Amino acid sequence: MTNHNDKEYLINQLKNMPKIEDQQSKEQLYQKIQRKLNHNQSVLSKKRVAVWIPTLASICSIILLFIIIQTQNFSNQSDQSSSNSAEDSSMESAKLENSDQTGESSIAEDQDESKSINNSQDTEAVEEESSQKLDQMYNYMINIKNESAVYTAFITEQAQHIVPVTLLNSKEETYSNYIEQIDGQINLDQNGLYDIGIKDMEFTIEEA
Amino acid sequence: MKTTFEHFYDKYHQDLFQFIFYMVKDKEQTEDIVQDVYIKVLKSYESFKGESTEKTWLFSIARHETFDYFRKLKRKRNRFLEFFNWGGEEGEQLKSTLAEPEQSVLLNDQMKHIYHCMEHCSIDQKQILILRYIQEFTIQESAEILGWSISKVKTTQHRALKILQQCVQSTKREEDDDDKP
Repeated sequence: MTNHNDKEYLINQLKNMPKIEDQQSKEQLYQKIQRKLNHNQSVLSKKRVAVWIPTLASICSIILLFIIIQTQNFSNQSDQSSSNSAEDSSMESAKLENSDQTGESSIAEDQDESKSINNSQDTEAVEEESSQKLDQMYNYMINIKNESAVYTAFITEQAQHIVPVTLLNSKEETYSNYIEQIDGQINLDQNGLYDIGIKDMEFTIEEA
Repeated sequence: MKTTFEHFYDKYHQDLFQFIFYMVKDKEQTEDIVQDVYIKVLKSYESFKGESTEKTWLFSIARHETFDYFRKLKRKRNRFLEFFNWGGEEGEQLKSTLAEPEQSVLLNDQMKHIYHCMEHCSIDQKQILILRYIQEFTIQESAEILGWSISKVKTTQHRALKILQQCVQSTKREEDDDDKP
């Protein structure tokens, strides 16, 4: 019974709790709400911008990655192609060198041996044959006992190669005439050959 | 927008303020929550379908805002407790030196006991006590505001009163013991 009475008493006490009133005016409250509302909206718009920034950044980074990968692929391909072409060119140059060497060695042999010579071939024929069959080795038996021979050499445009030339049975007595004779047969300038100025050089042949 | 605000203010403002004040027991926090409630009301008034009365709709918004405040408060409190380890053996619990809310000055001793003992109840129990007895909502209205069934309102109300009763009695006994020479 007392429990029930206590309960009733409690309910009555709760109902008689003091009324709480807000002291601020309606206008004041409305202004505060308005300010908060505007602030919330600006925060929201900032949040929206803040959401866009990482999205844009990630898109940009993806594009950048794509570009980097593309350029790497391209450079790899070009490297491969250039290495292939380099290999090709090295092969070619090796061939050329080989042919040059063969040519040189053949002519060197000419110079070294310089004992017998094939009368039927002139220098022009030697030049043409050597250019046509670069990979072949030629041996020239040069016999200069009864023949007259004039030695000279030309250089290529960038002085990479020296092309020695021997003219057999040359009737020309002077060097300039000799050059003219060669020039008549081969257009030196067109073939990228230049006079080395061998006329000013002195050669001595040491016979063993 | 202003007319909607004026409409709600004129009809329900003091009740709304009182409900939130008894929930949070802090004037500044109450003012803050009240503003948030009005913002929600103004934003969503157009979508109000009139399924319940305006008053129950307004109080259900107030209830949600108050719960949000408690959730934030709990998170903040937990962060502080974790940081300082106040609850452990090493810590020392100190009583708040803050003055009691100005309204409690108006209360007599018995009302003061009830006012403090309301904190021994859970948030659900506390809000049913405020809605049913201080705000004097009917069981039906309270059920609408809380989104509960009528039976849940009744049982929660019964338990809340029991806890309040026990707390008031024990406080009274302690006071009587202290008064004895």
